[in-house]
Amino acid sequence: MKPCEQVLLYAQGELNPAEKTAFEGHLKTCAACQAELKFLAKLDEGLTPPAAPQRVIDKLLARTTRKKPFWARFKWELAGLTAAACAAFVWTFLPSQEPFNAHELVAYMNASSDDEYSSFAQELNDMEDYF
Amino acid sequence: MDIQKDIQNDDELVVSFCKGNNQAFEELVLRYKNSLYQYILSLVKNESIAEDLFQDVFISLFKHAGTYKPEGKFKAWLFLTARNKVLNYWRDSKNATSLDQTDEDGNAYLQETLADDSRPVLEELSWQELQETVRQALEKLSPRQREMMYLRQFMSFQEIADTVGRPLGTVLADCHRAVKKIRQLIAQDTAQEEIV
Repeated sequence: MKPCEQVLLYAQGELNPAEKTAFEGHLKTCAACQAELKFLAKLDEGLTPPAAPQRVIDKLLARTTRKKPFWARFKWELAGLTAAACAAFVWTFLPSQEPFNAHELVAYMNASSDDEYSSFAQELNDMEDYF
Repeated sequence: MDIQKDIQNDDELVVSFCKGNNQAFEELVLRYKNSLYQYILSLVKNESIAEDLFQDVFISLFKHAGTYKPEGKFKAWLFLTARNKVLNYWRDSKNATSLDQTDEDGNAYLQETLADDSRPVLEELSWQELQETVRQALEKLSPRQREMMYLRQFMSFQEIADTVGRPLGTVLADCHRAVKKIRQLIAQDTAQEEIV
């Protein structure tokens, strides 16, 4: 390979030490290679890479290492369904109980105790008379 | 603690990932995200398509990392996967573009591709102007030439040759030719602006 053909390899740092020394000797006298090296340096400066958008990286990781199990995507729906199923079970199978209201009971007894007592006493008197 | 010992090479990361370490996979994504994205974007020239293909490449790695043989050529393997994804995309979209088409000059003698004048064409541009000028010139290259210019930033010429499956000499000739064409395009644009 002729010295001028090594300019790209030199610019990339891919020549071995002996080749590099030889090329640098050539470079001192070759205007074309000097211009090529300057141009390559400028070209690389203009080739600043666009960064991969973060949202693309996030999307990729969400599809690979951070991918959630299938059921995890529906956890709120599953929680709601479970709660509804529990409520339906309780409603269907547990015996219904009227709520105990002490105030109503006391009020009832106060209102009707005299009548009950008198009818009970009358029954006792009737039985005494009979026997 | 020796920090250097904590930095794993690509092969070690792949092996670690295959054993179930997802952090190793994320480290590989972090290492190559920008270079790989830029490479794909340079070929398809469409951000949305580049984003999809970029994800496809890493998803392939995620699914088939076990098929990779840790021989120190992970970068070439990754870029080759990306290259194949792009070629498949072009084939499926009936796009006639090919990365294997021969450049118009054929495999010309390298010497012919060197700078034919020493007129500085980029020296006086500001950084923004430089970026825009280079970007516009790259757009006008053939896909194969553009591929060379981008891969050159991330790989040695031998790695490029391994990735694209062509002899080192052909890769060097392609790259020389691409540089020459960029120089011509920029010189033409500059001359036109001077006339206007």
